[in-house]
Amino acid sequence: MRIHRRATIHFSAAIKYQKQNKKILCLSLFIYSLLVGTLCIGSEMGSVKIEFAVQMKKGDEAYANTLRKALDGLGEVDVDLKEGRVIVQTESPWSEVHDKIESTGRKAVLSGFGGQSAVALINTTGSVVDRTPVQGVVRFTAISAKKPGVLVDVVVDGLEPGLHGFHIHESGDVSLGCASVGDHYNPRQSRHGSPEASPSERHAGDLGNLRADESGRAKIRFVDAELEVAEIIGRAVVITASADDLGLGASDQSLIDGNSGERIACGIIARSAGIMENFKRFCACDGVTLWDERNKPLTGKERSQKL
Amino acid sequence: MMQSIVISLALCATICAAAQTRNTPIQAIAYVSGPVQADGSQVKGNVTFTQNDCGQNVHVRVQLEGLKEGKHGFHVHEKGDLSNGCTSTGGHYNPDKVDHGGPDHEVRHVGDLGNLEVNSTGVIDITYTDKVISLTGNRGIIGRAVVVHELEDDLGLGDHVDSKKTGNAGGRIGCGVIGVNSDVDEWPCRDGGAGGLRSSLSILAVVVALFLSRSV
Repeated sequence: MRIHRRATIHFSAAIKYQKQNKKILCLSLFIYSLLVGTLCIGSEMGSVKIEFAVQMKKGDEAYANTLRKALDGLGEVDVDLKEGRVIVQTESPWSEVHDKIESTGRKAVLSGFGGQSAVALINTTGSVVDRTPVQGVVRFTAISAKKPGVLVDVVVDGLEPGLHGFHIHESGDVSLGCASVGDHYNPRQSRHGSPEASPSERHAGDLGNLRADESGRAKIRFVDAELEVAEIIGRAVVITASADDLGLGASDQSLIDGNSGERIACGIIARSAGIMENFKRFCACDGVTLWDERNKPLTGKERSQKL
Repeated sequence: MMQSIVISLALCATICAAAQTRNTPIQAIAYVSGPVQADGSQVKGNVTFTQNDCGQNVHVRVQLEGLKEGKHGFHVHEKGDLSNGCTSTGGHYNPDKVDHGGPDHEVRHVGDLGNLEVNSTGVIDITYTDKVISLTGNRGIIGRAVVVHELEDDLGLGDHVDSKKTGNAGGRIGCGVIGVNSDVDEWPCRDGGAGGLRSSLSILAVVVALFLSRSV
């Protein structure tokens, strides 16, 4: 679609200039392509803005300084005491920033991530066999509004140490657990492959492997140059029991799913808030704050009632 | 001669546009679950959405169990982010920034789906049609969340301060992300999607026709 539109632009430009000097046409096309090229290079950075809601008081400069010190070296830090908001421009995983903020003794809740963004909560909800304690968060954000490319930020716990296949599947139906999310997302009808391979040599949903450390945690951040946030919303990410052989195995299955085995955890890719889009600090229903939310049941006596 | 070329190109554009129209329905599903309550009950089940084509009404099927008898507010919330439980799904999906209302009201949030009326069995299986929500386009509900509330939604008609904002439906007892459930690789009707292809094809055909008629 994108190629098509670009072709139309070039075509109409060609008509417009056909009676004028051909040099002008060539020159303007040259400048145009230069501009496009510069834009592409400029947006290739893996740095992203992450916004946290932090319990802070207006005018508490001492705490703001403690916070700045704690976050030193992670990137550009912007503390807004009045709004209780901290924005960090960083190349580190969000979980690291989160832990550093909470190391100051205050609670923090991630409230915005990048520009157009999405999030998948990884668990085994809906699975008929609930045996894995795998849990985690995968965040996606567009690296540029104008071209494809998605930054993927993963933190998952409870995995067997070693490599695990990591893929986007075509559907977001978890009514039968990870079994009902369909095959790998593959709009170009390609073979299975490595995320490094050309688009025709991989499924769009092939994100390679996650490596879990001795504690069972996998933490990684990478950029996939082909994906777009809009096309993956509502689909699912799946983690498998075995390593993905990236299509290099000897069997036929290698070209389908990289012999990556059973699906052990998954989550639907959902819309999430970008920077400065989330001003809620408490549940509108009864006034429980964002920070207390994780300690409160959703209903019942324990839940404080506003009125 | 020129006229026939122009006519045939225009015809081609029309056929291209017609050929792109979908004839398989678009489907989405949300697997809803909530925490186990003090009495051991737990809200769970599926909500499925079916739309026969872009811009058409959406048929909603709600199959849930573990609900208490009575009415429960039922809404599509703006985000599908469950990282902080049902709370992080934001407010009711309300792209037009209008007051809260009932599903049949003139003024309502896009996400206002009214109440689920549950009998003493605690199980509900209903199908109905909504004229406002859509599965496609930038304002589609895919990737957002359905939320079931503890209390009745007063549909904006109550005298509580939150009535015009939330319907005063209380806590969130169950939620789920609305996921794709169709065999679609290219999500139709979204900006720059199939609609874009159709219009750019027609424009291209017209431009080519003009270009040809000039050059002859």
